[in-house]
Amino acid sequence: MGTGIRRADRIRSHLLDNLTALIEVQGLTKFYGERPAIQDVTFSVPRGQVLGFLGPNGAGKSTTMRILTGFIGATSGSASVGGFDVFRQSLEVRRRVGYLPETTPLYNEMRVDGFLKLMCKLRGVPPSRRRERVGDAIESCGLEERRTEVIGRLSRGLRQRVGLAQAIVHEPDALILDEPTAGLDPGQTRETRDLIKQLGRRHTVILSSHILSEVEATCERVLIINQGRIVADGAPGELAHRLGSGRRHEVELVVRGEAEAVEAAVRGVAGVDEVTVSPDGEGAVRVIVTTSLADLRETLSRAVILAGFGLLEVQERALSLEDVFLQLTAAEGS
Amino acid sequence: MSKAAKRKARARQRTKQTVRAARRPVVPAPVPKKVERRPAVQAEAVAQGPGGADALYSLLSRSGLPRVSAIARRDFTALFVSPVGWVVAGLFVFLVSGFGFIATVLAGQQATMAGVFGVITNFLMVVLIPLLTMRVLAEERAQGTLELLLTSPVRDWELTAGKWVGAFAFYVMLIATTIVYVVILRVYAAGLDLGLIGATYLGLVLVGAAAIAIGVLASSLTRNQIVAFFIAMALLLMIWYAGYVIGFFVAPPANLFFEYIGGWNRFQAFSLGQAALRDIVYFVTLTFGALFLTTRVLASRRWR
Repeated sequence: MGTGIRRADRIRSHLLDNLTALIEVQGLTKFYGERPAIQDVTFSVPRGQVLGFLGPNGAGKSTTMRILTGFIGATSGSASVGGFDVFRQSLEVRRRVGYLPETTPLYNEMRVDGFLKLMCKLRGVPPSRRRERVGDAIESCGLEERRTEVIGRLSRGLRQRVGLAQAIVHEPDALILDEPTAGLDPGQTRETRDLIKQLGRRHTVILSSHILSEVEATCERVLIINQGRIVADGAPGELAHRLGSGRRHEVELVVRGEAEAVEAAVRGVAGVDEVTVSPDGEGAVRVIVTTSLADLRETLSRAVILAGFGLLEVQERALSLEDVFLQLTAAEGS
Repeated sequence: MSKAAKRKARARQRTKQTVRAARRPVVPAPVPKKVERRPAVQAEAVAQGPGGADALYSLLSRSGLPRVSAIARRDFTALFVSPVGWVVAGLFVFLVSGFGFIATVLAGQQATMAGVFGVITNFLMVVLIPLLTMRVLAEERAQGTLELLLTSPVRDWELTAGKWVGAFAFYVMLIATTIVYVVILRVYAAGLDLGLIGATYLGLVLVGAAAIAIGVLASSLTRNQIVAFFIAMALLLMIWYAGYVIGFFVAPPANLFFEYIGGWNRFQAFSLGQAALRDIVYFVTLTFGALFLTTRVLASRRWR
């Protein structure tokens, strides 16, 4: 009875899911007393995306995540996950979100599988599916050999894996990970990153970090947040590029020849503003050319070769995400 | 793990993922857009499940009972893993046997449970129950696990009730051990008023329920367990004795009012063998009042 209608419903909701964003945040503002933690934060995350939340400590990353997971309220603005309002339909949202808080809180006296089973119960996984879900989460996070170990005796990296396992145990649509690699050693950091990348294939992920290389390595899209406001939004490469254009370009050449003669040849090219020459190995010089025009690599190399010098290297110096980040946060801060 | 084994495990995972990826578009996870559509989706989930157990579960799940019992069970077992549970149980058994039984019954040569009950009401209520409840929410807050619980689909009252049930079960277990003495007295002494003893046990259970609720409330107010202990003890001392003490100093007829609202006086009726409705209502109200306040404290995180 009513299967036709139900199927139509299902198809429609499936279509809607693909069209609309999974997470929608609109003008979110939160004050702690007089101090604003975040101000007018607006963004949306489509299904399947891995989004990085980048900002210095205290920028408002954790606050935004805690609001999205229904842990705290907001002063104004709205947020929704999977079409459910974070404030009015909090339980529905919490069913669809897996959350790893910054400090990786776990029950230290419990065993890994017992803890995951408890989380299954709390998140409404039906009894018949619990064993499968716990097994799946344990396998996804590489905890097969630690299944019956007491959580309090695990290393920091393994605790982090248990934290990730509890976040995915109820098959949430969205994963929200607050500084998932904070406090790990380099080996554990790499492990955790790989794990997050793997989880990103199945889930929509928002992760926060104050480490640039991490976001650059794991995320398709970056939101840079500083002093409670979003200051940039885009793919890691694109962000660097966007900030690069409109400012000065730098081209770096390594040329075999005598310094002064090379400098004269380079200065002759139209559009060159500044030239710095430094010695680079035997008989070669490194020339850094600043220009206001878009891309002078071809013109420059032609000029160098026509002047009779040997061109060893030429490359455009792109701004790294680190440069972008520093520029943006410095501008905000001053 | 050897390299070959690792490779194999990875391959297994890959096939798993592709299977899942292939399955996904065929059966799209029906994410309802409106709350009204929820019952239909749940009914569907039940139909897909392997029958009875899950159907029952989805019914129960709406009432919140599975989550209350999950939290209560975790807390109950945590008491056996942590030293606090053993300290409380050890002290209880020591005091009840030492002062309540050996001193009054064996040394004092009286066939009475008064000593046992006296120890429970004087010491257990105001010291051991705060010890038992101080960690329930304060520890979760300090360790951050509260964030884990409250970002799970658990309602505030389900968490509060779970915490209360866990500690209450431990308390009932402690009280139950004293039935041994009733049995001993019954065997060796003929004239034992079982009705009186029954009424007193009912009173103890009700008083304990209220005291634990107040302990849970105190624990919800802070992240420091020691502070939670003292808040609970202060509140319990006040509720338990203040009416009695104030009533003693205040001139009549005002003293009647203070004596009337004091917990100690309300418990007296039970120890005289009367299970009066007004006293039952008194302790039940205290219990629910404290638990309700706890849910409000938990909810305050949303507008603070």
